[in-house]
Amino acid sequence: MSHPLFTESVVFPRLAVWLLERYTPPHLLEGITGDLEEQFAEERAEQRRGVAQFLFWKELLLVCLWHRGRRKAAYHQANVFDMWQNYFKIAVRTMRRQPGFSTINVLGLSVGMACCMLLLLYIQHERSYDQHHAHADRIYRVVDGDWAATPPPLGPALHADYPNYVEQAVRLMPQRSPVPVGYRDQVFTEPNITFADSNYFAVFSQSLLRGDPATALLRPYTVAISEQVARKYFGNEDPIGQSLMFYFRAEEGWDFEVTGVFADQPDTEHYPFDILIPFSTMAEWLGQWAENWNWAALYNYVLLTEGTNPARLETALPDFFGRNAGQPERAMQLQPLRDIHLDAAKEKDFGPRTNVAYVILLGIIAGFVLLVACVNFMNLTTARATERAKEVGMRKTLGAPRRQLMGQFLGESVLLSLGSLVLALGLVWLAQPLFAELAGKQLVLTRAHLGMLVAFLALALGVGVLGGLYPAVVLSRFVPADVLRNAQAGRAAGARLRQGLVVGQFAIATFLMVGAAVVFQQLNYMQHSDLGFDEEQVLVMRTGNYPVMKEKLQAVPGVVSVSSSSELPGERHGMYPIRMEGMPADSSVNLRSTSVSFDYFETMGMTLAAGRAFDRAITTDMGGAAILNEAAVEMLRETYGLTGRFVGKTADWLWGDPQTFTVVGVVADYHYASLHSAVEPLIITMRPAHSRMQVRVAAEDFDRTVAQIEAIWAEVEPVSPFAFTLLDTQLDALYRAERRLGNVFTVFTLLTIFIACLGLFGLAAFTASKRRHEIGVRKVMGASVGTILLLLTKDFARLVIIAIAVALPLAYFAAQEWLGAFAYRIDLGAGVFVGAALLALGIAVLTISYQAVKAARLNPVEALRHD
Amino acid sequence: MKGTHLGEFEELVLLCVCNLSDGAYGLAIRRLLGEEVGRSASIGAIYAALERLEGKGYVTSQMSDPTAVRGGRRKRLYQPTSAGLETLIAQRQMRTQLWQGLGHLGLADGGRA
Repeated sequence: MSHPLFTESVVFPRLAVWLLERYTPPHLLEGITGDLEEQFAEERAEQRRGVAQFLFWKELLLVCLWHRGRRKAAYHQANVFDMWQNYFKIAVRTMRRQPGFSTINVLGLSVGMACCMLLLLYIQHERSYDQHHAHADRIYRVVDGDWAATPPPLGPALHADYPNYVEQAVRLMPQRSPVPVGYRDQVFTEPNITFADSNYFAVFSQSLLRGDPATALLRPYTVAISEQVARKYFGNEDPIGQSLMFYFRAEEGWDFEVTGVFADQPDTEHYPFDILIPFSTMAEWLGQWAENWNWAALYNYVLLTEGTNPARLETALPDFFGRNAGQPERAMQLQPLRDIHLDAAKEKDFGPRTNVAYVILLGIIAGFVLLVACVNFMNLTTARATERAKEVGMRKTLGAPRRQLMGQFLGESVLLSLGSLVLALGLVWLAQPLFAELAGKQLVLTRAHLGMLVAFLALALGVGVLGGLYPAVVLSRFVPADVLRNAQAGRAAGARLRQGLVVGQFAIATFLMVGAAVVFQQLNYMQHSDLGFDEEQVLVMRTGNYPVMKEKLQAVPGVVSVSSSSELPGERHGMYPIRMEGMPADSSVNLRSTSVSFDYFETMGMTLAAGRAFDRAITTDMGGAAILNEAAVEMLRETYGLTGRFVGKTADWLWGDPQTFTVVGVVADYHYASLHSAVEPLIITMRPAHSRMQVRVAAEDFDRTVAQIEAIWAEVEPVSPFAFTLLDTQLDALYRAERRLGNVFTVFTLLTIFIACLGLFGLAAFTASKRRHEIGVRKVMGASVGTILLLLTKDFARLVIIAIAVALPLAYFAAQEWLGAFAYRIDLGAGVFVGAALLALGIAVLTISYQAVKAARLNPVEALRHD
Repeated sequence: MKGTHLGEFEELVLLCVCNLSDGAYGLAIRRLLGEEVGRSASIGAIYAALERLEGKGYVTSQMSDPTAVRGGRRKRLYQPTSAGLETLIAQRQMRTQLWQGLGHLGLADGGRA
């Protein structure tokens, strides 16, 4: 047991010895080592091994800290600190001597980092949906394959049958059309009303500011409202116990007593609402329907008990459906709450969803921008460093060890990159409102983003080190005599690397350019393609008194036509089981359906391919007629082998009360859903009035016509405030995600090109200054400005062309992939690619030419005098 | 050069060295500081103070005979010099003198009032 310290007593005895030998003065070494050893033995007797070891290392490090530097000072007086001071001074001087270079370097990197941070903030926001619910990991939404909505009795039955698995079940049922709500003499239209089971507040972490969470949603005809809504109606009054009048039907209102006020929802909630009404109210209205196992009416959420695997409940479901609904083969799935926002949108879903592909795409762009910026930084840093070969030679001659030289270059580079990080943070802060507008999201920097900051700090350090590594390793290797004798040495150093980096940068920039162009072309295509109806000049409103409204509006001179329908194009059309004449007796087919009033096809400008539109002169049309679209006809022909004319065939409606319709016409396909999907089969039935009203108005005197409509509105609809939207604007909303993607794409492409150009500009300046002498000689020998321009440009142009050759095929595949998601899409022409290539080359040549012209026009005397 | 002024922590360490007479080495001083004064100091801090004291000529040190407990390593034992003792006494006198001036606060007798 001669050296316990070296053997079993501590974890890294060798390291300990090394540290002590390195950092403690030699005359104290033995005493201190002994003390540490004794101390450890003492602790070991009382503490666990780990604790004793921890204390040992703490002591050891403190010893090292206290005596750091002393040991060296004891031997040689070479002033290390002064040397570092000198390095710092030189770093600042180098930066000052070439302010243009330094600015370009720092600016490029900081813009890149800022872009990346913003995009990451956005991505993090998208990923943080529903994280605020404390039980989020145990809450699941029951979904039926591609359907988000499920039957009303499902939740309570699950809770009753599997109390061991399901701790709570909550049903949410949105009121899909806005409802006018009145308090005293003021009325607002409320779009975000939801019916919820009484245990909502127990399952979801939605804090209730006023009222009792256990009872707020218990009694029918009570209501819980958000803080914002409370302020709107009641100002500073106490809302609890007040009553609000909900006009669920025009002219017919119900009084609801306010029993709770909840905090406004965070914007990372997948299910938005401002007003919660107890489900007991809805149950009262639904009656029998509340027990219907075939009606995908609402959203069932379950809170599983701690430790329950959702798969176990899923496997029990067929049995469960057999027992409760007589449907033994039916299965459903549990969708984790936190996945809902980014999962692919489901049929009959509710609330805004984000396409996860776009989030990934933005992530890729973020990576690209950062990559280009980092490459730039490294490029410029290495380029600049080669100019300092002489300095390195001098330092080496004077005795600088290699390690210190490496430290010097690394340090300078890290200093710059950290400076860029600080600048980038400032830029993010400045650009936040702009970006919020661009992306349609409010992003706030909070403490939660601290992790990201740390990551960026690490990144800045990493980029700094990488940028400094090359000069550090290569330059410090130089043999001083060579460098000092011949300043040419080291000139070629790193040229290959820099060329490669330029190629990479421009490849990315070209790729993004193609991407932005394709996104915009597709967007343009979707917005201007023929939808099968005329979406312009149509006002859309909701009325509770359509017949009177229509009669009065038709008298207005500017109004061309008025109609109503249960859905508008762009809105979800429900699916119902139908049996067409000629189909087997026990079969049925699910068709999307909508119901419209007379004059609908005329108002919307739709054309009929066969038969006729609904006609008020034919009495059987009222409730007994239907119109199919071409897609339905084709599907029925192909799948069910129906033949002959469809006009005159009958269709049995198999949902709710059985009905039979006679097909009177076939409408030409029109896009009632977005252009992401193909036109699906549709059956249109007839009803005289709906709450959605369409008014086609003449283009001239638009404002006067609207004013007249408003006057009529005030007369017919005394309760609801007058409000309308234009059909084309409403349809535009379908492509909001694409438009945002396009905007973000464009901005970041521009920034990437900007950064890449900064780099190229810097490099061109660098090359031009290197070849000053050469250019001077050439000019003296009679070279023209043009020849020299070509000389300087062609090297870079070659690199850019290689970059383009790399980028275009990749861009082509990526664009094909993206366009694959659209049923109606542009054809990829050569135009986009040629355009992007020419643009990239043009920008590059333009960037270089400034420096080239400057160099070429310089008087050779100026250049040559230097020698 | 550094002055001969005695810092507060240095004074404590020096007093400990005096107290421990023959057995004043790093760890013993540390223990005494912990037990008597309630100051927890790292070994590193104590050696740093001892180095400074030695530099000012207030303590001297020599190596002890090898001991079995510490893996056969010797201890560095510290002893106060006469200069060190004088400084301690001077410091104390200076304090006492200043305390006498606190009569108007009723604290002239070292805070017994």
